[in-house]
Amino acid sequence: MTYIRPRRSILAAVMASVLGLLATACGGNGGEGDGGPVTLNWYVQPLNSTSIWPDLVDAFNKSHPDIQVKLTVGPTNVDTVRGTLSTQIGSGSATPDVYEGDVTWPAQFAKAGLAVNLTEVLPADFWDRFSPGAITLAQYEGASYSVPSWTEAAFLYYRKDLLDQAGLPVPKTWEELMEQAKQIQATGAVKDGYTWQGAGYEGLTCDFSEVIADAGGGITSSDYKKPTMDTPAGAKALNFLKETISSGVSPKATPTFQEPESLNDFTAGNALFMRNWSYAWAITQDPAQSKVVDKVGMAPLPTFAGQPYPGASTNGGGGMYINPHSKYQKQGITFLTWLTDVEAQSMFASVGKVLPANLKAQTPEAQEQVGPVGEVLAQLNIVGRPVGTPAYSQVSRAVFQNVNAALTGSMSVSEALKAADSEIADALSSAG
Amino acid sequence: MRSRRRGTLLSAPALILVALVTLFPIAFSVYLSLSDVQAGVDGYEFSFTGTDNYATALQSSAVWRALRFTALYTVVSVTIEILLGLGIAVIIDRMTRGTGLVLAMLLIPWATITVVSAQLWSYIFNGVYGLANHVLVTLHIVSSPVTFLNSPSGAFLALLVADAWKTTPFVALILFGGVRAIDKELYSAARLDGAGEWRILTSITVPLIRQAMITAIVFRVLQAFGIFDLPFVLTNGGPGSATQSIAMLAYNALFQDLNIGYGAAISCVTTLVVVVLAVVFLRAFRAENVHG
Repeated sequence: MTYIRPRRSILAAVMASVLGLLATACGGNGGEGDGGPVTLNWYVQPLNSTSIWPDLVDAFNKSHPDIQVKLTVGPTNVDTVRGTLSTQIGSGSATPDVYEGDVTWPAQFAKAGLAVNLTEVLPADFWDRFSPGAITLAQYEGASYSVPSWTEAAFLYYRKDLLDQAGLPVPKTWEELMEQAKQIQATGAVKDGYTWQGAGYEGLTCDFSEVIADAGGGITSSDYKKPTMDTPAGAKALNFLKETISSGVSPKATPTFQEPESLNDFTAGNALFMRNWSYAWAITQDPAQSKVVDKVGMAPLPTFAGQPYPGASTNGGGGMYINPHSKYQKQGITFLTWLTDVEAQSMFASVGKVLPANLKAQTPEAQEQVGPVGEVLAQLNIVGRPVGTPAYSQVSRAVFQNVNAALTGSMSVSEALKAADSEIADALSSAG
Repeated sequence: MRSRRRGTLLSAPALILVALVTLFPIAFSVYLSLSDVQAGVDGYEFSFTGTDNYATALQSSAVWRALRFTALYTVVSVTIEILLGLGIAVIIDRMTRGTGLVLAMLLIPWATITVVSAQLWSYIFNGVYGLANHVLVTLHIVSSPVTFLNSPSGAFLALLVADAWKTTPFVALILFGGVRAIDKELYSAARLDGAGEWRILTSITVPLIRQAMITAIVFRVLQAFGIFDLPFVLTNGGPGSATQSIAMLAYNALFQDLNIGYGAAISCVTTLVVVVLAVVFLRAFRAENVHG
């Protein structure tokens, strides 16, 4: 039986190292000592190629020796981030202390106890720094769970060289846009008239929210009690989107397009018009990525004939939330107050090239720094998605899956609207 | 006896570890599926709701649609992969040179992470600048680019191609192991008796590699039924919800809607289906063994 000896010693060694690992794992989680600076963990999503996040952290840490912000930049896919944060915070983790979340999350995160009610902890006059619309669109049951940090919305991008050449104005209605597109496509100057996002994902819900609002309707009733897709407005919106493809104005592959595909089509010089967010501006003006530098203009989205101009624009971007399990909520509030004040907000324009959320930071200088976005943004008719229900993710999926099925022709328009309504009704009733 | 007890004792830590990482999560997700889970400021709160989540799942048309898609996808993809894999295995078996090189090359698709290969396939099947369209248009097979992912059947086909590319080599390698073990004299004897290639394949090769085949089928069916990453990246369940697998539905419920109990119920239903399938296959295999 001597052969057992070496095995036993191996087993002992393995057990010892496992125990050792466990011990270090447990010991590594030590708290902050008293007196030293507090480490505040801040989780954000990539904004663009600028150094805005680390620059903000440096500026804050320099001016606040007692709080040191530690930055984590997560992945770009907002749904992946939701999965990560909801499991981490839901299981009681104290970090991240402050996190950036999507504009569609407040109701879901509030209901699930994943975010601090900021209306309760911030003074009432704090909110004066933002436009009231930016606040109400992100509220759940009258309370705010996130503070806006920068402003994002949808725009119409157009080829100003081609419109000038043809002597055409920037379109104010969808009908006009279709006519102009067909006219210029017929000359062979562009292959596609209008590119937008028709793939089955959150972006399609944004695009659809806009056209259904233009048609005078909405996805749900404003009290979130019942779905309103299967209505004349819903049919008008969906028929219009289908027509952009069937008429050849939008590419046949539109039902597979997300932002990058539509942007590629536009920056390759293939399209006359594009619906996209403000982030796309810088890319259309980058000679390394774009063939249409200096040929592009931005305007509010059109609407249907007979409706007041401009058409609806979905708001996008994120807000900053505080983790309810954070040990440093007070410091988190100090940080958010600083982040939304004029100094930091001006950096969003000068460094990040995006429009700040703080009204006082939306100066002419800031507008110049961010390009035409700055001029056009003030004119937009911002319309939110139905994010006031905790079941928003199901509502949105019911919208984009069924609209996408109708766009590809695997469902008729009326079938798709009915199916969407029945799925939205289920979602709303389950949310209570 | 003494050594057996010692054996049990020595393997106990490993067994406990295995139990901890497999049985505990399974039991916990069954518990979750029977509960209404609400996250609160003090962490999760569980309230027992019995089979409510299961009732909701079984009444949901989305669940049935996903089950239908997943089942069809499993049957078609595994059939294709077994047939192709068998062909490849027989061919490699006959190769006199370069067998090692071919085997190594076969491993490349299998070793490529699905998320990466699915992303590459999405470029290939892209309706505007995709490689597949370039080839089809250049060869004059189609006159204008096809938007594969625009139709349910096109998307299904794209998934099958991507799946077969990745997993046929896995099937081929398992079957090759079986084919290699066949005594080559059997082939010579059959030829002497005037048997054709087809007869040799169906009467000698296939019956003798049955064990390898069952192994390959069981592995592939279990994997195919749990398919998530490929449709998640390549089609995102679209067009509409035509290629939404049952695992994607569970993911949506768990991580998008934060409906933990409901998501757990969908996962448990999937697990149940897979376990039943596995038992049926293994029974069938055992029965065949007894008769054979």
